[in-house]
Amino acid sequence: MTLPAGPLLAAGWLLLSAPASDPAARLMLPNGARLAAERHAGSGTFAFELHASGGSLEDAEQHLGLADLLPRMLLRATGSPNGEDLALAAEKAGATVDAFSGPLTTGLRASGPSAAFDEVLTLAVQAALSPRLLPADLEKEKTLARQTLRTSLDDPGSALGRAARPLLFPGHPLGRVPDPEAYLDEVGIEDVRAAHAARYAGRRLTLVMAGDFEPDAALGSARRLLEATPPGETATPAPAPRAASLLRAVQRRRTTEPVLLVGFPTAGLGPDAWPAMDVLSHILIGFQERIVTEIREKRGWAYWVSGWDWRYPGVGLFAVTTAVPARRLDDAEAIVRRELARIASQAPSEAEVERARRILATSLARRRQRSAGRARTMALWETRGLPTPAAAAMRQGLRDVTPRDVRDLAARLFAAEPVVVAVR
Amino acid sequence: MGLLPTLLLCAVAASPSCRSTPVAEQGASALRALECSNGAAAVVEQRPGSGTVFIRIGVRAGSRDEPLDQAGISHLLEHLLFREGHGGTRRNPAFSELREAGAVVNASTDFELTEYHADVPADRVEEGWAALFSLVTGTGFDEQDLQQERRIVLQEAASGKTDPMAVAAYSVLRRVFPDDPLGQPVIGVRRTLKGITRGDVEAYHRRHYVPSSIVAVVVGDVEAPHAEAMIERTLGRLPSGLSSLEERASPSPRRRDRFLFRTLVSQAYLLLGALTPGETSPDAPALELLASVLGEGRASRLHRRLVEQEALTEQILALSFQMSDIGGFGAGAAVLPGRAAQARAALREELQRLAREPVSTAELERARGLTRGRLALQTETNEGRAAYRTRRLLLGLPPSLDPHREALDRATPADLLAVARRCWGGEHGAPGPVAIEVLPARGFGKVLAALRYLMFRRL
Repeated sequence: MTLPAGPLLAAGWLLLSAPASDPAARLMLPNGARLAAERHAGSGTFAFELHASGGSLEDAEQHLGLADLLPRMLLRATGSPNGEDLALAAEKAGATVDAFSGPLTTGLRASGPSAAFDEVLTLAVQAALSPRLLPADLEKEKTLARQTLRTSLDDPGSALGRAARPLLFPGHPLGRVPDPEAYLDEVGIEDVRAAHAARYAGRRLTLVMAGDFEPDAALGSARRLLEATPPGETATPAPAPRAASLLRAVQRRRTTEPVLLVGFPTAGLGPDAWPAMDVLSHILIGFQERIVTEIREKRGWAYWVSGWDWRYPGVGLFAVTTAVPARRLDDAEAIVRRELARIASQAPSEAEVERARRILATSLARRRQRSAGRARTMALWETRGLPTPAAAAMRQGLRDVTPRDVRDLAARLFAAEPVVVAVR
Repeated sequence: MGLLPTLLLCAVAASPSCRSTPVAEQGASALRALECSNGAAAVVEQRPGSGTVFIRIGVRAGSRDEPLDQAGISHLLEHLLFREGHGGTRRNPAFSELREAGAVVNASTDFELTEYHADVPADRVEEGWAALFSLVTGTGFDEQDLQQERRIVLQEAASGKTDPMAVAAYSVLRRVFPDDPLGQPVIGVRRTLKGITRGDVEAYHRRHYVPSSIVAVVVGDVEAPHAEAMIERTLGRLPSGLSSLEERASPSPRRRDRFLFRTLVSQAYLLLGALTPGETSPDAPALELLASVLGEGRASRLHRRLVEQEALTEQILALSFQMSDIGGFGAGAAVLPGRAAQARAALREELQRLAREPVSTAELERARGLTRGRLALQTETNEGRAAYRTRRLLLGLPPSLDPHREALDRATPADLLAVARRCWGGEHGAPGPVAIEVLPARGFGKVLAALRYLMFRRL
């Protein structure tokens, strides 16, 4: 069935747009659930992500970690099939189903050969909407989650995050870090059940699908699985970040690799600014671009230079991170700050911007070679209530970025004093 | 560009130098193999509509091929080939050209292979190939580049030493393969890295980057004949090289039952495994399936036992890591130190069970499905297809996916049992599994670990 383009009400659901392939065909169900599907012809694969709004940002203080537990509990599935049945059915067909959680959403994602799409979609959506949520399962998942948190403490990367978050986002949900000694102690099964009822409701659900299938058929299957879900309430928007009061911290830790973060919390970045942000980020920390050239290529101090680029509604972050010998931490910080100030005051050259546009367009094409990459891109847009642009529109968005756009964005992002954190 | 590559590129022959033959593979429409008279090999695959062309040049040279006093030279060379020299004229601006073309570029080095790759926009394939070929065959770096890259590599090594299991793995390799390059870190050690000169690196490049050791794979949105012509007029016309390479010596591992490390970690990291005969062995498909039965996916044995039933940990591992003629198979977990004994017993039981009784038909079917599914996902992308075919070519195996799939389909529970018994069954002369453990230091051990750390951080 090929559906006509344009908004219309038909058969009890709202058709938002439905071209045959890229961009995605989309539906909104009467209960508020958003569905999107894109054909990835010839790939022989599928991928989908079912997102429920209300991630860690929505966890109450005493329930920090609930958003991590909830999707794990879904993989215990229903009474029949149980979690093992679900895993067996998917894996025998060559597919995998995993739980995920983040600041904005939690959910299940799957990928595999396209022949398994219908079966895995049905099993996963059933598991997400009608999980058994038993106390014994919760205790197991809490034990496992605590163990994972403890193992992460052996990773120096987690030390940087634990030291930086409270400074970057004081008094904000993004600034919280779990206490390994008390993690999840206050979370009971009724809390999990209440969170599931609130978060896995129609208005909060987004299902994105990409693969070697007919988008209309995929939307039809998804509609049948999701249409009976109660609408519920929409998610609470994240609060705006407060200005950081403490701007510097040094975390002492025995490590062979001291690391540095220079970060700027933001009040969020709308999708209109995403292409310019991509270009800005590339010019600063792309391979052999400005900061990499200064710290790595010219001086040989670092093996890697990277970034934290968080873009949530109403709150976000851009940070440069690198690892240098301890005696070079101050010098590296000075270089990063100098480069951020330079791009905020002086537009980059057209050649730099053009190089960034080209490499970013290649990265986009690479991402679109995977069904999972397409689903991830769709999820980014659709969970924000926005239609996923066609690939051509994304490329055009990059082409439209000017050097001045980049400078103006940098001036806006880097106006305040940065938060600087070192782990050494 | 260095003198030698310039001479090589000038040595253009007049006649076709590469023979092209179609390669059969289910689902691949235009897949061709090239054999060049100078010994180079290549594969070209046309994938219309993918938007990019992934180019990979692989060299059959890795840390196994290094003299003991030059540990890390393969990896250092890989870094240096991206360098373009200093002063007014850049000697080999290949990397800059790739970036200007919009390519996503990187490289890697392991025990047996160094590979360079670029994913280029479909309309820039010609310049992308020329630049990557120039990058690999030229040596534009100077003394200053060498000094800087040496510092960068030492930083990279410092990064690797933050992972307790990586540190343990290299310590084990050093003990299992003493006086063998296999026992050295791919990245090298401070002493050898400091001693490597520019002349050493250039000599290593001349010796190993010869056509008979080079394979090229081009996959993507390009006409196959066009890609073949690119390869033929460059790689296909390189002179054969100045020396013939020696065969790698067969490794002679030393046997130990347990390796224990106590250091500054808060968790216990356990691995139980055995040496295996390598990717070119007929046992390889069975080992791949055994790893899947044991630890791949939520319905695997380790997941069901350690995660679902005993809630010990979700950080489990089952791996089958294969080089050409030797490899490793193992099961591992990270657990709270107080539960290490329970995890240790479970890992041992599950590994031994594989060597004691055949897997069920249902388990084998699940493993087969999952393995085929993983292959399907890996080969969605031009990069995944190129990586697969490069590795197969370098190992002397068919570049088509079909023989691999067929071998997976043919494997029976009896085959898996026989391989497990041979590798870690512990009967009739077969070795038992080897334990590698990294545990938190206790008491005075913490002081010793801290002292070791103070020395260790300096590599």
